[in-house]
Amino acid sequence: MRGVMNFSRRLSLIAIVTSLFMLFFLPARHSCNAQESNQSPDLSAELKKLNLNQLMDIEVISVSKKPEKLSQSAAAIFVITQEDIRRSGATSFPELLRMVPGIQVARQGSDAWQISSRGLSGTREAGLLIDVRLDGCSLATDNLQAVDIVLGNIERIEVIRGPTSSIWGTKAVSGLINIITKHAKDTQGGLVTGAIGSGEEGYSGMRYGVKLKEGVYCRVDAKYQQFGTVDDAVHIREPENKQGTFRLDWDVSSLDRLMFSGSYGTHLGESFDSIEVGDFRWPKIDLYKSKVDVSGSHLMGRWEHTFSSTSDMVLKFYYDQGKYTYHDQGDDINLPHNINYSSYDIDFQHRFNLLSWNAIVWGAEIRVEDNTYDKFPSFSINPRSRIEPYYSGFLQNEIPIIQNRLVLTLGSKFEYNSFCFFQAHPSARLLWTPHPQHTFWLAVSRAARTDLRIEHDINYQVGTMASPGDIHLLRRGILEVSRHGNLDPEELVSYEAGYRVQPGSVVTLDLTAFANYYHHFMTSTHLGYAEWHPRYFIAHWYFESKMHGKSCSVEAVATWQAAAWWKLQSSYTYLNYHFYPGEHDTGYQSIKDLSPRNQYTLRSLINITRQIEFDTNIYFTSRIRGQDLPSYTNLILRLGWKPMKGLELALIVANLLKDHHVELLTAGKKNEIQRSVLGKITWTF
Amino acid sequence: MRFKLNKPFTTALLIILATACIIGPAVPACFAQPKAAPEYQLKAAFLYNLLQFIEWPQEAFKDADSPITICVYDDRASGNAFDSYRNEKIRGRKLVFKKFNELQRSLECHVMFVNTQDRKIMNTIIAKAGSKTILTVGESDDFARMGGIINFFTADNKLRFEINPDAAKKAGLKVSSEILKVARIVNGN
Repeated sequence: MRGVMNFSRRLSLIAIVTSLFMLFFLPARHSCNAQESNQSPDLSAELKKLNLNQLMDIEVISVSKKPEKLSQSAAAIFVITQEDIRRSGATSFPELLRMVPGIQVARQGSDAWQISSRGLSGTREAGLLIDVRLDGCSLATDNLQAVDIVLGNIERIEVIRGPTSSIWGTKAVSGLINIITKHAKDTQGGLVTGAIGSGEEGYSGMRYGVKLKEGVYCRVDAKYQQFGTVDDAVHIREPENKQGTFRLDWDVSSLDRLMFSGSYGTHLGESFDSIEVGDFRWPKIDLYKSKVDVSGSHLMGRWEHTFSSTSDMVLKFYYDQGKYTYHDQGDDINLPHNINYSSYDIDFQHRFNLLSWNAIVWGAEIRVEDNTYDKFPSFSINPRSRIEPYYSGFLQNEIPIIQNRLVLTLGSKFEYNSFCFFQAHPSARLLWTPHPQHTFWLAVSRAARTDLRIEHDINYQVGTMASPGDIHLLRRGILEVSRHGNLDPEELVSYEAGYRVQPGSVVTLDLTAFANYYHHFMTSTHLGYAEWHPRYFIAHWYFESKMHGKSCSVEAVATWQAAAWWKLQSSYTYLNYHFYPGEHDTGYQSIKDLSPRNQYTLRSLINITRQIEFDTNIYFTSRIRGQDLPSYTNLILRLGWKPMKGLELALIVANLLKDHHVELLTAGKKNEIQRSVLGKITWTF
Repeated sequence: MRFKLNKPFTTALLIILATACIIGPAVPACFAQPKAAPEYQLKAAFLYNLLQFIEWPQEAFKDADSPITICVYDDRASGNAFDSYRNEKIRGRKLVFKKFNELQRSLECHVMFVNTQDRKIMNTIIAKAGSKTILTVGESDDFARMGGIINFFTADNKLRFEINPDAAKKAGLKVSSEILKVARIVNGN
């Protein structure tokens, strides 16, 4: 019976996918005809014959979708440009985010990073997460190991701190990172790049882009990355990534654009597993490493259509699937166990003007997630396999109260799924531009987080505990997990204020402050006793939503183009927060003081000559109180040399100031990040 | 091994058919031909027209046949709008189109189409064009006031332009009174 159910669900999915592709292709083909009949070059030829007076009678259709000007948005936005990426000296995507105020990046090992926005760490199983999107599509996995982004393909990265759930939904409760990749037109020709560094770090990649016909561009690329031993931990394997991607852009007409992209990649890495030893309240954790093989692929399609200068739509389809396979080393159970996941996503957005002055954006999305936990020895999840649909829609209205001066934006996202039933994420934003050089904004938003499947479906976990009489006598047992009544969703109410000023043409300053109030955070509480049997034990845990907290922060960025050849950027982040946990909570341990109070960055980009660049990136992070780690300063220097057209050489020294330092503990263990030197060559033709 | 048309299969078929029905009739909307044109195709036509009314001094060109070089800032945005003007001639001079950016040192352009909203970039380009015989054309509110020569703007969804005659004089360009009649005049710098 179950097999039939699965079959029918899959069939429906296939039907939806097929329908979607019809949605893509049918209009596309017709738009093609439209191009021949009414777009360039015929239209151009017609326009050419007209004189000025006749031209002045023709209505304008604005098709260049100008990205919203940074100074005109009522949110804390930071944009990382191609130039920033090239000159940061970073070889991995998470390292790029160090330059963003309000974002905390901690490297935990050769191939492991932790990223959090405004202090809520992502390691906490029940934590608020930052939404990472590739060209607007949410990546199905939160694990950045599986998401390997080829840095050279990035057009820009937009980072929005604070809740953006009123448009982006439950995953974007604490922020959004949108990675926008380059149009295939901008990556024509070939590129070969290679890098080699200390500690067996290495990188090689190639890319080739061609024009298939007028308006149709395509590129393919492949990369191989070896992470080497950047940290001093004992490695059971050398982590490495392999990836291939493609992107096809078809500018059907000046009103229709199609994009398809896809990737396939594998990651051979390590994962940390732990055995809990000791008392429930203060468990001592023993750590061991196991091998993890990740493979994944994605396929994306997007159709953008412009109706008029104030109206357009985007239809997107996204499919993502992958597999994690763990091979335990330290445990006595050596069976490989794995997670299979796949997700299907259809997303539609439409923008138009109502009554000529209300700018309305609305959208609807259906996402289906299908994942299976297979043969996991350390915990049980029921059902093992689940296909879960998520439905959502949003509506946003931009109301100009005073033309070009004061704009109010009201909006909300509405979501429905079987974990949390119905959720709304409303927000109100006010933008005041008294003068072209001064912008003030205020925002109030409410966002809530949907339970993760693992939180919802977990039954029990296998653990190890010391006997109450003799702490040296370890016993394996079962931690039964249950949910205590109806859990309220974790909720955030955020108050934000910002000010941007451009005093001259060379200086910009961006200030943001916020106060966040957190309610109903999930806690895991034990009942205070365990049933001891001669060979094993059974303990009982339950989830409650008892924790609440608050945080406040100031974030500032100043950019100064000191001379045509010298750009400086500096940022400062102050963050303070308190959480009040439920009784006996252990989840609290990982949220408490895991973020630095102060962060400071300074970047200097100097063009010494037209061929030689010298860049300095300084990242200061104050101490991590919760783990008793001292403050550290990363100094990254980069010397770039372009001896001839198309050829670029770079020498990068990272963590120059100290031999090694620790950024964040991994389950109680220190991984020292070491100083490293990297040489890089890039040749474009 | 008899194949039976079961329920999920029919449901799937229905979904596909329904989609086809919804899309089918919606498609012809693409064919509607209003008296409208995409922004940059219209701007290209305007620019081509305007160039007929602007005179460069002799020394701006190497010789009698050398072309008029039109430099475009953001050629991604303008797309292929200028393509059909590549073989056109104005007063015997061919039109040549190039891409440029504000960091370039030498600007061998006769026309610079500064299609950006970024004030910093506009400022840099206007300063660089300076007293050279370059016709600067922009599309941002303050462009002409900042010292640009021609600026496009929209009023009631129609394309209009403004001219800063002082800036044109400074650049050594002669602007025919024909177009001054239809332009909005801006003073500044």
